[in-house]
Amino acid sequence: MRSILHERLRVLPLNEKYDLTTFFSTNNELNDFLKNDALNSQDVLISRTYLCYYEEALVGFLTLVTDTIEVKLVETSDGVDGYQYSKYPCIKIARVAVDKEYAGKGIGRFLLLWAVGTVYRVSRVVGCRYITVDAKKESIQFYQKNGFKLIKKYAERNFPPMYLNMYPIILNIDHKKIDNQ
Amino acid sequence: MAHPIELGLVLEGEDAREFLEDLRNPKATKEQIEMFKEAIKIAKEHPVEF
Repeated sequence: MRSILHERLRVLPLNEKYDLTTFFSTNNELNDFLKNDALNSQDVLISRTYLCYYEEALVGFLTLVTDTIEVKLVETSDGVDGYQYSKYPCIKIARVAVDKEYAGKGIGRFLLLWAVGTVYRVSRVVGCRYITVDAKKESIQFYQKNGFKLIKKYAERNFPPMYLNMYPIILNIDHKKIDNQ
Repeated sequence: MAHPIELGLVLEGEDAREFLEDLRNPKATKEQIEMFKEAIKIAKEHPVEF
């Protein structure tokens, strides 16, 4: 199946003017969230949702929130020198879905990359070391391929949580070169 | 109402140990670095407009 070129996709922040009734992914929970909860959640500053359009069609969405990872140390010797924190700042890709008519055209991958790139930009302004995601089970392999780690304790949840440490990756990014591109 | 977004990820036991090992010895693969470069490019080409 042919992918849609990235330059033909637009990402727009959700607001009340958009018609969401046409959107149907294969996951009813995600459809329900977009149509009934996303705007309310955004209005009270819990989350931000972004819509992805191809021409005039709403083809996907994703939702971002701030998050934390808390580490419960088993023994005091489990601590790491230089890291006195037990909680670490994250941004969470809380919801991602693609309309079923547009599945298999690279839109999910585009949205994930857009989110990762956006989190990188946020991390240049606000401290943020990890990206977390509530992964659809069918997407776990995709996330693992990109370095996300599955939390084994919660692996049986409907949307198992995963995380990615951006720090070692960002060490290898030439910020000046990217900022000037 | 859809299941609410769960905030705050708590790691214990083996998950905590794996996390701490990653803190001690963080590693990035060539694929991850390339993925990030592509992601940054996409985000830059599709900035959020309010």
